[in-house]
Amino acid sequence: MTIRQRLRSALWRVPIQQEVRDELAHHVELRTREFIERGMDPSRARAEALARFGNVSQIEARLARLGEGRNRSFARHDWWEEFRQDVHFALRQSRRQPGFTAAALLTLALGLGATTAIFSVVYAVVLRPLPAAEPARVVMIFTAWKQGLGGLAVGNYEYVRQRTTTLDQMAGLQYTSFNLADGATAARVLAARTTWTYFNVFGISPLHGRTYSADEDQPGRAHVVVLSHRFWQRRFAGDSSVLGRQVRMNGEPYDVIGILPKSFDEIGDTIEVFVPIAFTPERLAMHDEHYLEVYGLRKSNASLAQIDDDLSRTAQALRHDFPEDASQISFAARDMRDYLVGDYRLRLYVLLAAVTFVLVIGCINVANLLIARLAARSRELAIRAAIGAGRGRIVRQVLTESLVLACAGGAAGLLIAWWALPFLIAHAPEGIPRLESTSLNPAVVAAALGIVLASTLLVGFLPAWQAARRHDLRDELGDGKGAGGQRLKPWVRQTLIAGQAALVLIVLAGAALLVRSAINLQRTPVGFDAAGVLSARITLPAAQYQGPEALKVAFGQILERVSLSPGVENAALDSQPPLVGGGGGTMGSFRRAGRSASNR
Amino acid sequence: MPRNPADFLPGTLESLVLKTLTRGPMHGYAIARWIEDVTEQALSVEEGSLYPALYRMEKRGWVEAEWGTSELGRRAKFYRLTRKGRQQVASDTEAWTAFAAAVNKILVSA
Repeated sequence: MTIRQRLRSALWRVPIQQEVRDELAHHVELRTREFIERGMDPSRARAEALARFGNVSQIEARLARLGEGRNRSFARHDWWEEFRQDVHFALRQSRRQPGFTAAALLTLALGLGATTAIFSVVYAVVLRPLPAAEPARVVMIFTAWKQGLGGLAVGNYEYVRQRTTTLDQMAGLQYTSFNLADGATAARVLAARTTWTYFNVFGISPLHGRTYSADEDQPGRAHVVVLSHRFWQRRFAGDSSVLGRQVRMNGEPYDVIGILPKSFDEIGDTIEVFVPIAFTPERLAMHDEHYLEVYGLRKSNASLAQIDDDLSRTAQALRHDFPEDASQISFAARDMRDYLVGDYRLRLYVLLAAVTFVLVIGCINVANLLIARLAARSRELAIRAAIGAGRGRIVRQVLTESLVLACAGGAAGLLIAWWALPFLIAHAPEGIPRLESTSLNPAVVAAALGIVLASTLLVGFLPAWQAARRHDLRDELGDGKGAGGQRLKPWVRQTLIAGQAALVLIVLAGAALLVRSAINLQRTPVGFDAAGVLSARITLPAAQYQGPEALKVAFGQILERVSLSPGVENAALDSQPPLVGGGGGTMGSFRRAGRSASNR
Repeated sequence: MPRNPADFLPGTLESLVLKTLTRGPMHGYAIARWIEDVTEQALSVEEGSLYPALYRMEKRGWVEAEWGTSELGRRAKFYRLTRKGRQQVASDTEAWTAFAAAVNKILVSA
């Protein structure tokens, strides 16, 4: 069968048009002869034979098309047949040299596994789009101070909102917290007050119920609450009958009107409940308290630069209109995902580059092994060449060997990544956004496949190049062993080794730098001794604790009780503890526990 | 008036050609002549259908083609039945027999 296929391939090198013409001419000739034998006039006989074809050139064209299709299908079939043989050969070769195979596989599996694992983190944190309807259009707007980016004053937000020409939607969010009471239990919940447009910016629809309307985002009417999925699961065990129920937050009744989808937890982050922000006219006139987090949905034809232009024009007008409060104000827009990811993008890319280097080093090692193995096989290659294997064919065979290795290594690598990921995530430094959603999803597996193919080329390129050189059968057979291992020009392997050494040096230096900056970070004094210090946040419902006196009494009692707890050496209250984010009117309790207590 | 088998049922021409090739490798003209002679000119194989059918069957792997020398000493393309083609003839024949018997029951017996 195979030999006949070979013949077939050789046979069809005749151009298809030629083949068709010859075949039909033969047919016409025989038909003409038949007609003449029946007594027809020779010239008429030929015309008659041709006429039986109808439109000859049309049929020729049709047959040529069919023939080309047939040749392509044969070529495909042959290609697969050869590929199958090459894979078989590679597998047999691998079984015959288990030591070599194990070394190569382990090297590739570790490199591919590490690269895949880190890539899946990069994908989850940096590359994955936000779970919004149109993630690429979601931006954040900031007040740009000399020290960095900050929130907007409500008045400034309103000023921008009325004048923007580059944003379709704008929304403001203010962090707060509530004391939420439902029946007998009460707990502090992290909350956001948002404009009713907030959910529109992300284009999400609630899992159950609805989000609040413009009508409800008004002072005095804002007694509705939307729950985050996480909070709904934790606090209400995913019970949808909570919809329409009334809960008390800071002593006031709120109707539960909606539950957000799980995907929104990533955007809402730690926020547990959302309530309308309901700006009063006084707040809308405030230009000097910059606490509003502002989101926007950019017009689909507006770039970030155009938004910045738009914002700087608006800021100019603002400074002119409110010289008192807004003289320093300018604004900046950021892509939301980029802002969230921040400098983790660069750090993760550095990490990815490091594991990629390790993979490349591994690939070069395996390439070296393959070259050595091929040198031992030079006689076989010479025989193959002598019986008609073209260069391309030999190159393909060697590349198939490295493909088989890389695929097996890739499969093992995926297993390693699958096993290592939970460990990696559990031991990652805190604060990397979106890290929890890391998984071996189809995008990651597709990327892993791409990496496997790239490794195949990396591993197989030089060995294939070596194998493709002319092999002289006489040399190989003449003096028995042949020149064997020394055949490859020495500079190729020297270059390989030098390149490997360079890469190893880069990885080592990079690792050393990383370790040093980590150590430096730990050594940087924060200005106080944080050992044994615990902190907690408290929110007292405003409805029950009215006036500064009531608050003072309540906090005094809390402080006293905490101080008396066993294991606590010292306790304090603070509205803005050091190195702790947030604030915004929250009271923080700051207590010092004995070492024995904290070591429990 | 000789009839073109393709006028009856699509695929019939293929079956006839395959069956013809069970007698051994033949070139296109020989296939056409054999069908015409055996049916005493009742069936006429149109060249415009015969060759496309041969090319299609070659692509499907039912027949294989090879250039050889014809009885007149000319270069000619010979078609040969493959194993797949043989299986096809068998199943075609079976299907046709069942079909013809059924049609006969209506058109002739009933």
